Amino acid sequence: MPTTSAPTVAELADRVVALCETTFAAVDGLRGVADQLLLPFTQGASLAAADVAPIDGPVRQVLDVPRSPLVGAGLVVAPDVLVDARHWMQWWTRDDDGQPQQLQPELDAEEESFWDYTVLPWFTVPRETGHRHVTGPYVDWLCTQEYTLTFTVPVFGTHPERGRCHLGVVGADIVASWLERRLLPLLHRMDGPVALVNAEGRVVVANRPALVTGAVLRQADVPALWRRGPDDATSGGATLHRLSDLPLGVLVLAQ
Amino acid sequence: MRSDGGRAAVFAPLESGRRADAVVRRLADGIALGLLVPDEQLPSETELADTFGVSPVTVREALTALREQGLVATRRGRGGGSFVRDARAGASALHERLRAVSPSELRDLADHYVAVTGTAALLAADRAGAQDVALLTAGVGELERATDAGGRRRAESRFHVELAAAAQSPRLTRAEIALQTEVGPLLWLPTATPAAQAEQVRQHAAIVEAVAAGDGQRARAHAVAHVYAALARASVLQLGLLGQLDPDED
Repeated sequence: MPTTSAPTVAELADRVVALCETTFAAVDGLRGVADQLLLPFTQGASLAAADVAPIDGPVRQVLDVPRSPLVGAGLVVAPDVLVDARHWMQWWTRDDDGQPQQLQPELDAEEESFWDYTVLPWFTVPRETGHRHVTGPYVDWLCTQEYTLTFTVPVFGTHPERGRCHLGVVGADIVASWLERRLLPLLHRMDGPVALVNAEGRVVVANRPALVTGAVLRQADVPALWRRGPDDATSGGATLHRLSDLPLGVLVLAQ
Repeated sequence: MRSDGGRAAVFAPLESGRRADAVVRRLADGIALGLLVPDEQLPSETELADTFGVSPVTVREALTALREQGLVATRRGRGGGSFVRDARAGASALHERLRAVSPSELRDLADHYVAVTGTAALLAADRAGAQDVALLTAGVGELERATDAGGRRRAESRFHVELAAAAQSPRLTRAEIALQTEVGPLLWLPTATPAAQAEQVRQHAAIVEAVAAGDGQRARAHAVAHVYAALARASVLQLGLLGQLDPDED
């Protein structure tokens, strides 16, 4: 049996980035479609919900790929962009048989069951930072009802009167278990406790039972390490390696 | 309108306190006691406000609650107004449900619900992030702002689903969602009154405070007390309903 050396943190980081890039590639494809559909708005024309509906075809296509990790995808429009719907989305999920189903949440703000997506991090963070974002892992009880990570990119445009404005986000969901399965073989061969965490310090996947997916790490103050900047940060025997361009990091803990 | 002692008592001015709730109780009792009969038209909102000594807004709130409980129906247009519904004939979905289960079944539902909700609170205290706490806090505000029974019930249900989501457990979250269809009409509608609202808001705030502080045992204790307080209210209503049944009727 050939002996293989334990994977390095850099190898794990590369693998995480590669998996995330696969998902963002699909999202970026949809963003291109969204840009086209929203173009008339940036030229001063009135845009209605029906005008963004043609994104359904490409959305269903990315969900329909065999063995695709994506369980949901679509376009979520910012308030007051469409003339006939203050809040709007064209979002699709895969049902238990793998068939795409359009999500139909209550988007009328007058209704009490109104789903105010404008306060949720997968919508607000890309809007505030102008940058792509990974939200989660979290229980997405309205959409997948699974432990989910949501990948979103912002869409901006320049309106003749309103100037530069946020037009919405394009995004996709994957379930946490998909990432766990793909990363555990690598994590398992690493020496010492290692966890993939988000900026809050929540475990995405790790190689120790005590560091179970979804737990918030108590062994290290990840938010404090995170605030120190993009370079590796160490405190109390724990080292955080932030992944470039993603709100995720690899945390190496003392044995 | 016919006038006699019992009926006059129904419409006697209210002294103080939780006025809309008191109006609801007075009219609901009148209907339950048969002093107000099915299909009878209630006085107008203005008249009711005068006789009870409350504002028209309070009367409207009370009538909404009675409508939600299925005790009155409001017809619009000419000849419209609020009419007494035949509660014995099963006009009220809530009363129907409460009659359909026995006290032991109602208690068992609360026990099951406590197992899920209590554990959700315990785990949420350990696992909730800043975003989870923000959503739970917003949920408390939603219940505070709710203005009718349906809105209170929805806010209550939603808070519990958010609590399970904060526990990072899809299974507990799905269990919460599944239980809401049973718990909603049986435990939340009886507490969906203006008076219970302030109490429910305080209980929610206490749960959120313990979750934010990372105190799992306290969060669980508040969540358990919250559910059993709802059970206590529902039980009072249920015993009143079952007490009116013909003992030989199955």
